[in-house]
Amino acid sequence: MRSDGVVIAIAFGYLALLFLVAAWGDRRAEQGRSLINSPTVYALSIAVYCTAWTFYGSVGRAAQYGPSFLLIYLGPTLAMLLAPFTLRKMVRIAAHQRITSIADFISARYGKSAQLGALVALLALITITPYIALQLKAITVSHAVLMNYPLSADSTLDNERFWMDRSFWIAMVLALFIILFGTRHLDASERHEGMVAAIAVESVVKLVAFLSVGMFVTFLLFDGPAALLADVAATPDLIDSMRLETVPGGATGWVGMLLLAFLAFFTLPRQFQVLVVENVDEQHLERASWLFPLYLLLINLFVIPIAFAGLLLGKGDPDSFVLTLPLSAGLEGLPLLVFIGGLSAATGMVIVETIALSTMVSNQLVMPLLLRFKGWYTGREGRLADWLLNVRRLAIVVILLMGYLYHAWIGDSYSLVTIGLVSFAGVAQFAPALLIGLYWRGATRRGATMGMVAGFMVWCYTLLLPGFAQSGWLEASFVTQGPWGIGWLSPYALLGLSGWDIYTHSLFWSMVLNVGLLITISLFTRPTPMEQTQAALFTEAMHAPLPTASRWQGQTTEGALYALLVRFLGHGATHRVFTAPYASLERSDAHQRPASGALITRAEQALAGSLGSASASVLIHSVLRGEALDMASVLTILDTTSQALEYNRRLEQKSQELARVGEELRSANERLQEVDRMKDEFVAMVSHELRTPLTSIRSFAEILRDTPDIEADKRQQFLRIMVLESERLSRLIDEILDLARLESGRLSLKPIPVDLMHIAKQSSQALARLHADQGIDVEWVTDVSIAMVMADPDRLEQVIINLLENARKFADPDHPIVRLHIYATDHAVCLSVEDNGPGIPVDERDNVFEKFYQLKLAKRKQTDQRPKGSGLGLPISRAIIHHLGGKLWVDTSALGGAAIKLSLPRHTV
Amino acid sequence: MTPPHSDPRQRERRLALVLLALFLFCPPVLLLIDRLPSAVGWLPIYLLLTWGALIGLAAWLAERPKRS
Repeated sequence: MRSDGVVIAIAFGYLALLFLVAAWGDRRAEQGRSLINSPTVYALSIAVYCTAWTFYGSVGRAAQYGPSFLLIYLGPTLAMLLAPFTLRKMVRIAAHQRITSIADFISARYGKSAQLGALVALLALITITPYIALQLKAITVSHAVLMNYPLSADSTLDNERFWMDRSFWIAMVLALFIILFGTRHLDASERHEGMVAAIAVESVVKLVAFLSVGMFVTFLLFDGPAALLADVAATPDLIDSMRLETVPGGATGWVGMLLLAFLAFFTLPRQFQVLVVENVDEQHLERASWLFPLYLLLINLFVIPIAFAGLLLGKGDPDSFVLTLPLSAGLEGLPLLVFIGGLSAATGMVIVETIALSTMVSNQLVMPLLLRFKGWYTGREGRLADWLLNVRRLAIVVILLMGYLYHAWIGDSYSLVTIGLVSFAGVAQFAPALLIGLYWRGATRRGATMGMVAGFMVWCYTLLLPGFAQSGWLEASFVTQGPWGIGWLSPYALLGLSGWDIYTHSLFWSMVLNVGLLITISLFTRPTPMEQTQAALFTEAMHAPLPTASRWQGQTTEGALYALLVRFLGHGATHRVFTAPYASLERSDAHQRPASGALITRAEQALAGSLGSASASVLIHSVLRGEALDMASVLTILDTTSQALEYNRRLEQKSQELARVGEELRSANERLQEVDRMKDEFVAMVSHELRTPLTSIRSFAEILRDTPDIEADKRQQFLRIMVLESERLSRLIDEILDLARLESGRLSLKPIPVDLMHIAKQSSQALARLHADQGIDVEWVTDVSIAMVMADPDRLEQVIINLLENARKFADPDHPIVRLHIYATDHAVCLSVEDNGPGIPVDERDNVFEKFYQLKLAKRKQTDQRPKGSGLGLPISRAIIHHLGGKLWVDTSALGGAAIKLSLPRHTV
Repeated sequence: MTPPHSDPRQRERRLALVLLALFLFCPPVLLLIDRLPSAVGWLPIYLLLTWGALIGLAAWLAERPKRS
C-alpha cells in the first residue's frame, strides 16, 4: 500500500483534484454564481496561514519549547478580533483604489511611490523565498519519512538528483496551477475565484487530517487525554515541558512572539492577498473574525497530546511526529491522509504566496523599469496586456525555482520553525509603514522608506547573518563574540541586550529603528501633494468617499486616454472603462473631446488594478497636459474636505429628521383630507335626505294653498302624506343628532345589567302591528333562558328595533320570514336577526355600515328605486354596540338572506 | 453610506474584547497561572480554554442580531 507509485499517484491525484475545484470555481464565477462569496469560504481561505510549518512544525516546537507554539496563533487571533478596526479599513481602501498587493498598498499610501513599492516587493521576495523553500522541504521530508520508515528520513535524501525529488515536480505542477488559475486576468485586483475555492478546500483537508491523527494518538494510542497526562506526569523529563520557563526568553519572549505573529499576520504577502485583495464583501470580516480563530484553535487542539505521545514513545524527529506516530502503530491509511494534509498545507501556502509575489514582481519591479523606456510601450499597440501577463507567468516560475533552489542548497541546515520565524520577523518590517500609515496622516514616504530600510538591515544583521553563521558560511565566532571580537555588536545581544530570545531581540531593535525613523523623519519632511492626497484618502477611508475626481487638473482628450488604455489593457477592458456613450469612439470628434475628471480617475483605477497604482499614476501623467494640483490647492481641497465631511454628517442627520417630520405631516394631512372629504359627503347626503321630504311637504302644501276647492278626501290624503313626511323628517333629524353625538362621544349611555331576551321581546312587540300588516310571523329561536348583559336598555331596544325593521323591509315580499336567534358563546351573548331577502354580497358587508350606504348604492346602480331606509340605522346601531363593548357584523343567513348579528359581553353577577 | 457596525457601543464592546484578550494572554496573568500547583502545569489548558471563551464572545458579538 505504501509503495512509491501509490503515494505519488495519490499526491498528484490530490493536485488534480485541486485543478478540478479551481476550474469549477472559475466556471461558477463566470456564471455569476460565485463559490467564494461566503464568509465561511473567506474564513477558510484565510486559514492558508496554517502552512506545513503548522502541520509538522507546531508539534516540533511544542516538543522543544512548550506552549510557545500557541503564540503563532494567538497573535492572528488578536488581529482578527481587531478586524473591525484595521482589516475593514484596509479592505475598503483596497476595493476603492484597486490595490493588487501589499507592496501596492504601501506604495499607494505614500503617494503612489514607485520606489517604495519596489522596495517592499524586493524585501518580500528576499524574506518569503526561504519560506516557500520551507514548504517544499516539508513535502520532501514528509515523503521520505513515509517511504523509509522505520529508517531515518535522511538515508535517501542526500544522494538524490533533483529530477528524482518529488518536491521539484510538485513545484512544477504548482507553477502550472498558479499560471492557469492565478493569471487569467491581467487585472490583479480582480479576484482569483477558482484559486480561493481550492485554498478553502485545502484548509478543510489539512484540518481533517490533523484532527484525525490527533484523535488517533489521544484516544487509540493512549486511553484519552487523562491517561496521556498520567504517563507524562510519571516521566520526570516531561513534567515541566509545558511551563513558561521552557518558552525561549520567558515572559519577554512570550510577549515578543505574540507581537511578532500579530504583525506578520497583517504583512505576510499571502495573508494580505486572501484577507484584502481576494475579499468579496467587507461584511465577511464579521464572521471570519471569530471563525478563523476557531479554525486555529481546532488545528492546535491536539498539538500537545501528539508532542507528548511522540516524546513518551521516542519517535525520532519531533517535526515528523504526526507521521511517525501512526506509522509506528502499523497503520496504512492514516499516514497517507497525514501526508496529504501536509501536502495541502504546503501547496496552499505556495500557491497564494507565489501569486502575491509574482504580482509584486511584475507590477512593482518590472513595470516601473519598463515604463522608463517610453519607446518600449508606445511602439506596442494592443499587445502589452499579453506581454504583462507573460511577465507575471515568468515571475511565477522563477519564484518557485528560487524556492526550490534555496531548499536544495541551503534549506537542510535549518529546522522548519527557524525559517518560518525568520520570515515572520522580516515581513513584520512592513507593519509600521502599513499600520501607522493607516491612521496617521502625517506619515511620509521618506519616513516610511528609511524606517523600513533600517528595520530590514537590523533584521539581516540579527537574524539572517547569524543563520548563515550556523550554516557554516560565516565563522561561528561572529555570533558568539561579535564581529571582530566587538562584544556589543554581537548579533544576538546587540548593545549588550542579552537573555532575550533571538526573535524578540531582533524584533525589538528593528522596530525601535523602524518606528522611530518613520515618526522622526515624517515629522521633519514635507510630503508631496500626491502623498497628501493619498494619505487623506487612506486615513479617512471609513468616512464618506472623498471627491477623487477633483485631483486632476491637467487636461487630456478622450482619444489619448483611450489609446493609452487599449495599449495596456486591450479593447475589452478599455470599453468597460469608456462606458456606453463612448462605444462610438472611432468617430473623430470624440477623439478630440476633453476627458472629464471622473473618466481620468476611472482610467487610472483600471490601470492600477492591472499594473499597480504607481505605474498607473505615471502613465496617466504621461498623457496629461498641464500640471497636477500644486501643494496649496491640495491643502485647500483637504481642508475643505474635512470640513465638508463634518458638515455632511450634520446635514445628513438634520435631513433625516426633516424627512421623518415631513412624513408625519404628510400622513396627518392625508388623514385630515380624508376626514374633510367625508364631512363634505355627509353634508351633501344629509341635505339631500332632508330635501326629499321637505320638497314633498312643500309641494302638497302649495297645492292645498293654490286650490282652495280641492276635494275633501284628496285634501285628507295630502295632509296624511304631509304628516308622514314630517315624521320622517323629524326621525331623520333625530338620527343625525344621535349619530353626531355618538361620533363626538357626547352621547351618554347608562349601562345596567339587563336581560337581552327581555329587551328583544319588547322590541318585537313594538313592531308587532307592522309585522302583522305584512303577514310576517317572527320566528323565535332561543338557546338560552336568560341572557344578562350590561347595556343601556333604551338604546339596545333602538338597535334591535332597527335590525328587525331592516329585516322586515328586505325580507322576500311574497313569503316574508324573519328569524330572531339568541344564543351564548364562551364570554358573550349573541343576537342574530335573519331574513329571507336578497342578502348582502360578501364584498359589500363592511359598506352597509357606512352612512347613507343605501343612497350611494342606489346612485351607483342608477336606479330610481326609492331607498327603503334613511341609511343611518346601521351606522348608529354599530356605534351604540361598540360603545357598549360589543360587535355588530353581517353574516349569511340559513334562510338565504342577510343575518345581522350582534354580540355583547356576558354579564356575570 | 453608514457601516452596519456604526453603533458606537458595538465598536466599544469589540475593542474591550481585544483588551480583555490582551490581558488574558500576557505575562502577569500567565505567571499566576503558571505557578498554580499541578503535575504538568495549567498553562496549556488555561490558554486553550481562554482562547475558546474569547472566540465564543467574539462570535456572540458579531452574530447577534443588530438593532436597527
